Amino acid sequence: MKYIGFLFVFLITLGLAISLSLQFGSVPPIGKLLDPNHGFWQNSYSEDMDFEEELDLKNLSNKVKVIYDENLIPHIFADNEKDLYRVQGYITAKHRLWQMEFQTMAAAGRISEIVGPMAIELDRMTRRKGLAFAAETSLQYIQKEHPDTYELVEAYADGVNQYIESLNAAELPIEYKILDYKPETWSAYKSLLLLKYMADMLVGDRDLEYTNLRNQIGQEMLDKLYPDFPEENDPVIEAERIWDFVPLEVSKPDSTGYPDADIFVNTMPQPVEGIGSNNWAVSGAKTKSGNPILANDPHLSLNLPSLWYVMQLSTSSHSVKGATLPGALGIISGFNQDIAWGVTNATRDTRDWYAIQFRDESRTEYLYDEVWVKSTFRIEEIKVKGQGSFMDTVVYTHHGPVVYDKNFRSDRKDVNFSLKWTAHLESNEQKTFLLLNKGKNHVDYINALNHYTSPAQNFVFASKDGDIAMKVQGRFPLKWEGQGKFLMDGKNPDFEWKGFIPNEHNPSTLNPVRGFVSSANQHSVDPSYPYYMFDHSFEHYRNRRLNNRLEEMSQITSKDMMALQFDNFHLHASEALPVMLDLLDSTEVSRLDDFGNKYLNQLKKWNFNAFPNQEEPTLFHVWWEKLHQGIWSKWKIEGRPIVLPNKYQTTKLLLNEPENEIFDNPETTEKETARSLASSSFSEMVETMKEIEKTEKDYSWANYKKTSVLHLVPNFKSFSHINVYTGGGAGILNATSERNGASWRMVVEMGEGGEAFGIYPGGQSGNPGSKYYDNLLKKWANGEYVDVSLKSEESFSNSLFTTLFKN
Amino acid sequence: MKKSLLLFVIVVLMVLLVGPYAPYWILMIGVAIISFLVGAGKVSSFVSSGLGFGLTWMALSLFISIKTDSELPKRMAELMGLENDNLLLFGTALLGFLIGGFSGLTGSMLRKLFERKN
Repeated sequence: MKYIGFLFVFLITLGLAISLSLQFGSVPPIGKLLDPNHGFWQNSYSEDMDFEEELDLKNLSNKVKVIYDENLIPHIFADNEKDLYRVQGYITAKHRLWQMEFQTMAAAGRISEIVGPMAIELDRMTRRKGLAFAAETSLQYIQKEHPDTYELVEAYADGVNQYIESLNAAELPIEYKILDYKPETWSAYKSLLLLKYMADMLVGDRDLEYTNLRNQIGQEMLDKLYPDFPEENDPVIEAERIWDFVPLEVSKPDSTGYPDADIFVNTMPQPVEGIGSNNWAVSGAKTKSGNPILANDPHLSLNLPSLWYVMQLSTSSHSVKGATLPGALGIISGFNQDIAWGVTNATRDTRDWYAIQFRDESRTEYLYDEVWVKSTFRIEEIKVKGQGSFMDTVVYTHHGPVVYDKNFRSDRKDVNFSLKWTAHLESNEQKTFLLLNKGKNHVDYINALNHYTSPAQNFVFASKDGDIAMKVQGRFPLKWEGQGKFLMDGKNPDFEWKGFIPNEHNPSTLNPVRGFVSSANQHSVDPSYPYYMFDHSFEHYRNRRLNNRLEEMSQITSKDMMALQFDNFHLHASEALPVMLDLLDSTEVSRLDDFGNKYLNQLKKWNFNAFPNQEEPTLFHVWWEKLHQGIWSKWKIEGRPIVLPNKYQTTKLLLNEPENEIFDNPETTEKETARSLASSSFSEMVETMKEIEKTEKDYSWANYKKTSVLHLVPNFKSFSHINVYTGGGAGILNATSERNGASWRMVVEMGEGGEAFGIYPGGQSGNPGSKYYDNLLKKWANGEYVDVSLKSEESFSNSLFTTLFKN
Repeated sequence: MKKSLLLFVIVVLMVLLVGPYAPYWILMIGVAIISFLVGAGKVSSFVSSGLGFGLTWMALSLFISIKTDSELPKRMAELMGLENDNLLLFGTALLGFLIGGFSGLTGSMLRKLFERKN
């Protein structure tokens, strides 16, 4: 009996020991997680409670000092660049290891390894887009052509790895503990993957959607509703710019037979439109101090841990500060003693699709220029947590990977669409940033940019010498008029890109007469630019608001520039609402109930600002959505993706041609007009608003749009901030919508006594247990900044703590 | 009574001193061995080991919580579907009690097997 009793108790004990260390479904290993010595409790310490005064770091050539300021911003003081980047790797990993690894896992299509089968579809798409293939290509290129860059990227990786090796179980970031996996070795390859991840986040195309649209509404209507240039074009490079170069010749082939079949594939998710980055620089002539001032606020999806990590990086020869991307070397948007620079996304159609005709089902040969060409196969093994690997074969043509085929997002056997994308090209974007970090003047800036391929950016520049500049930089394919707007014929050489636009011909400007340079994701140039330029997602509102304001401002201070970054004027509403109110039928208005009248009066009195406590932006937003849907939803056909006309063109149409046939829905018996649609959408808005008033009690803008900063694992709701009280919105300079907003705001005044300010929605720490995880969020939401001016080792008055790295 | 107090004290010390360097399942083996060596009764082995383990875990968690004033316990509680972070503290204590208690009981019962042989 005793034996049985013992055995019974022993088995219970053993069972406890084992089961508590295992993960069941989505339930984390409870024993490991709750153990106060190793589990989540240990992640409660903020960085200033638990720091080292001295650390041994192998391979350093000299001592490196790291001083943290009160916001946990590290200031690294090293002798040379190799020591600097080795320590940057170590420090970044110390505060952001889980995030930097997770993002590169996402770029490599390896999320299924962490979260299981639910991510297989996502991973397949990532791999079929060829992100890992692109990073491999870049790695080989950099190893061979840029050994100086490679050496530094390796030093950074070594720093990250020395941190990973030093980690004990208690210090492991909380996400590893919950999801039950361990960090792997970092490498130069992973740093490159991260840059491809950025390209993927920022570059979209609508070629397949446009192909369907053209078949559906015809070329003429397409040109009218989706013109290459808007009526009020206010481009990045001022319209007065004279192009002082002889452009490369490119002629449109005589017969361009675009394939015209309808496309029924479930196309990939695109970057959200209205994500709005801004940057600008004003010359000394427009500022109070006489120094140039530069501002940059790149907008991205709002996430925690924060996308950016602020650092100062100093060697004996240069000192640079600003926002870094965990995983990449150097500062991405920032300034040093001599120059400042910033980035916004320069959207351009750099991604094209080719329909491939294979010889047979084996797909080993495809037709090109009337001969059969061999394809290559890339086998993608997607490891899946909790089950066997998923194998996917991706066929590559000389254009690029075949993304959509019979195995992926298409039911038809004959669908084989190959993707050609500048992100697949050999490139060394890292070098651009390494050079900018130590740049001294405009010449250095241009030299640095020459290494930059993708994702194309509008690089703003200001220098201590008084220069301001802007350049649209990326490697842009040389295309004939209209090329690549639609799915192209992969077997016809006429559809090949005709080369690339030389860097010197990329749009740029230096010290323009108007005294400022600016960009807000709009068209890069005026139609006089001698190359074909097209993209679907150019901005039409923030650019005009920004340029109008900069034009009229003078005696500018840094404070003014901060206010402009937080500008909440809703230009679209100010143009569209008067038109919409005009179109409202007066008999309809007389029939409105109390609610309807209240809303109408509010809208009539609106000052077109979108502050968080205002109710009018909600009313306008709901009405506009209903109206836009009312006009265009008739075009939507299940399973056949298209894009609807944007709000700029729709507003123009409402204003100029309210009687146009296009407003009519031929499916219905009555005849719709702009007037009838404005009235019916207003009624729908009233009904929706009544419902919102009933359920939410409060329809103020902040409460309606519910800006949320979500943890990278969307299930981790308690690590996120839902419903942050802040204003702005898509198409507004302060482009803070539900899920997107300024991921970093920076204002830098150059020259003697120049100061720098920055803020981002989160905090320096990646640890949800640290007080530095989200301590900057509230300031960000209120439009406040922290001082990020350059500091010298001696000038530190209130440091948080200091760590000395020794070999 | 003396033996159970001794067991309690040793378990507390071990969880405190060895805990930071070893995962919890090593501690479980440790508790079983200590309980085997001390030789208290079954019930008192279970209770002493359980309380020693559980209370130490609770004290450690509470100590970290107070010292750091971190949001993390609240965030973790919410993530795990618990209403408040005190439940997480008790959860940690209960878990400590269970693994400590059963390990102690195992050690004590193992000794009983040998005692009969002698």
